[in-house]
Amino acid sequence: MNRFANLADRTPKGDGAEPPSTAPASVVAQVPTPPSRVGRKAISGYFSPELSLALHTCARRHGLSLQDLMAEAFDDVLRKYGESPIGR
Amino acid sequence: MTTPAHLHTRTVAIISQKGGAGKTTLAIHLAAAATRAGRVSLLIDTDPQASGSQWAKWRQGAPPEVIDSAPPRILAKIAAAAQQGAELIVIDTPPHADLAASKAAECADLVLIPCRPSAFDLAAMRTTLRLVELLSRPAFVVFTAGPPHAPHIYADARELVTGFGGQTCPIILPDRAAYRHAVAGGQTVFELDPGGKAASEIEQLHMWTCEHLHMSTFANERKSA
Repeated sequence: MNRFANLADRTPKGDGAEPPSTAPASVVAQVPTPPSRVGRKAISGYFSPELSLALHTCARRHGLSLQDLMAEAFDDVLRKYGESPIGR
Repeated sequence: MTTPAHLHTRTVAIISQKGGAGKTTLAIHLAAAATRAGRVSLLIDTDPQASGSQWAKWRQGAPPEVIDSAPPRILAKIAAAAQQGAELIVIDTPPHADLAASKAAECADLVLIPCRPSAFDLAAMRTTLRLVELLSRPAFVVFTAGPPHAPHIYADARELVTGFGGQTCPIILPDRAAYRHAVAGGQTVFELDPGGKAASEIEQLHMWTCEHLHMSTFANERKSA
């Protein structure tokens, strides 16, 4: 019985009855672009888990999303280098 | 008067910034132990690798049930699952996922931090402890995947965790082949080797968890109370 199947994000693919002999592959969901990302570009980088945690916790303390916090930080750094802030 | 079912729901988050600490194995088995005790348990898999979901597929729908969730939807799913009768919800999280880990910890009545008793893992665990401290959640480090007979190692590790301001779970889940064999076959250690050490240790951890969640160990104890 699947009491909570209605709560899943993804519909299970295939019957998947047999465990494969190799490690399971990641399941990648095909999802449409969210409206908040339409016409926008992702800026990413690889940082230490400590910095990542510090940014998340800072955002949370101030009631901001990580996106808002990063936008604020990018504006600050643009000002620092004499460039015009762009905002969100 | 009947108490609404959702008031009985308890949530446990399994978080650790370090990979390979046995988060999914712990999550699967804690949910399975609750099922075995007659409870309706649910595992929420927030790991994009979807290991818990894959395991559930191998089980062909046998309980405990597993659903996936993007981190922002965890709270809504817990509320909905509680309304649908879930009694114990276990949230599995990916390593180095601050959003998933913090969302899961925020929703949890209890946070378990699986950690190998090794220097690298203990150092990384400090980051996880900072997160749960910030969110003011009751949290315990559970030593996993270490040698079965090494009391000095565990004593040193406990001292280190205490020094970081953390608490440790008295139940240790040492490395046992039974976990690998069970999970690879879509089973739990209760099904693979019910009389084995791994099954006994998981059962002890489940009982300890119930105590910390103020739940009775068996579902019928509460129902008959």
